[in-house]
Amino acid sequence: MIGPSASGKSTLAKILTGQLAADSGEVILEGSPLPSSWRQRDRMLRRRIQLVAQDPWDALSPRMTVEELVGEPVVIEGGMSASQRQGVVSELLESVGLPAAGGFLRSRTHELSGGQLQRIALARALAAKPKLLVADEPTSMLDASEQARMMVVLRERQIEMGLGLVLISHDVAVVRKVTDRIVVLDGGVVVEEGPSALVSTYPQTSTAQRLVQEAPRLGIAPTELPPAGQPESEKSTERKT
Amino acid sequence: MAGESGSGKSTLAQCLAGLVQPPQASGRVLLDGEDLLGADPERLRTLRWATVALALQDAPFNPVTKVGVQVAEPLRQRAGMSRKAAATRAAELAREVLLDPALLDRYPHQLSGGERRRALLAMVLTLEPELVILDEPTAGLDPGTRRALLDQIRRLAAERGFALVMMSHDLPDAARLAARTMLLYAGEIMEIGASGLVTGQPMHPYSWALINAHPVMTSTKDLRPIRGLPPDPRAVPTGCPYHPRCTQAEDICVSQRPPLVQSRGRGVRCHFGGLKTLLSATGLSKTFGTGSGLGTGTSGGPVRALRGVFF
Repeated sequence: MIGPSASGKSTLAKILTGQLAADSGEVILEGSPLPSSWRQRDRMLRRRIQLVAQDPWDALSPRMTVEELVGEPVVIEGGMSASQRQGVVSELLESVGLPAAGGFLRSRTHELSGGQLQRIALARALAAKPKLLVADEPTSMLDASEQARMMVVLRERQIEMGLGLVLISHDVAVVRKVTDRIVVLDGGVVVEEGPSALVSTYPQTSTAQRLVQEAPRLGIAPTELPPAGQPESEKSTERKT
Repeated sequence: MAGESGSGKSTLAQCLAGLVQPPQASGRVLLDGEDLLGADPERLRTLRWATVALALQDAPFNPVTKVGVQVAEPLRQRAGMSRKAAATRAAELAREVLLDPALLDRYPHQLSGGERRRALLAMVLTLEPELVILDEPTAGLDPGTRRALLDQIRRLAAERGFALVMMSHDLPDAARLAARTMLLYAGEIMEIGASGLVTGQPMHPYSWALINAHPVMTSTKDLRPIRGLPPDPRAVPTGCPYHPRCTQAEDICVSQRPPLVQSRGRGVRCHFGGLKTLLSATGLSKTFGTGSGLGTGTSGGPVRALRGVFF
């Protein structure tokens, strides 16, 4: 889901995850319409549809350690020994590029950077093994390499677990790598929709075109390199046998 | 025709060339309307190499005869060419398949696997067949050579007008060369249709997972294959053969074999017509600042955040 600021993306994310009630219309999950603003009332559905919000500080309790934050959904799931749970937590942290070592596990949110918190929020959401993950700008505070790692983790989960992903972002370059379809939002309506590769290469609407143009590109223009083994000054047309 | 090992690709290749006959094979293989299955052995012999030419992945060359002699054999035996003429033609064909003609003077064990494969390809083209069936023509070649060879094959197909059936476990390669793509799994077609559609917008859960399980340059992790393994052809699961590895399997998938149905512009073998729609929205609207909302716009009036969202 891409769109300029104030296009309605975050409002839509909140409605999809049951935090907000729509005035009209329906959200349909696996063929069945969802009730309105279900998040408070339906714990089962909460696990199935996870949200990674734009602001990690908002979502993560300052009173819990990293280990508790990532481990809580695992505890709720039940059926595991403490050491098994630790193993799951370590694996999740490693998958998002965070250390699974003692000191870090005992840290609390105020000791961590925005980038670390975003990754913990993602690990926590994945710990619940959701069917659908709505991620609203989940990598805005990560550098390119960390962002790439997040995208790989998300893609892997899609393949392995059939995880559905709604990725809300203004960064088309990232979105096209991790999603099958792109929905372009502007002024509260969908203005364009299609396969990711198509929309990001041949955007039809001016909204989409602008977003695609704004996507980061390497600033270095490609230049012609001389053919291997031939010094630039020599331009021999003779064939050597 | 794409698929993992054990999917039946090579067997299918042999069937299409008439090499597997009843009772082992049943059904029909129609070549220009003529059924190869159950055809007279003499007829099959006439068709072989001259009309239908097959290059199997592990077709062995005779180890005690030079490669060039073997490549030229169809020209000598079937086209009655002299030794010299056949050798010249063989060298020309070698060049067309990006094989150094000097290598024709060697014995098979003196060539690399990739070189032997190209020699086989040259041999396939000697009698200018109408149908060329290639089983993994580029497996084991480095990416540069692979791309060059595929481009050559495409060029040759266009120039000489032969039809091409290519078996490959490399989907992007296969799709670049062929107008239609078929995905095989445990001996069944899972998806079939225009190459652009099948590889660009895969609909079967298997196709989708296979196409997305490609190496990602930015990852330091191992490749993440589809969980589980392809089934042993002798012990194919009941119902849909893919159900143990499918992320959207339900009870019906375990008990009933799904039919091949037309879905979203191509054939898909899935009880649900392919990937299920997980999430959709119809006419979502939300306005803030009408008393029950969370805030108001700068002008103090209501903010229409969503005005009918469908996806």
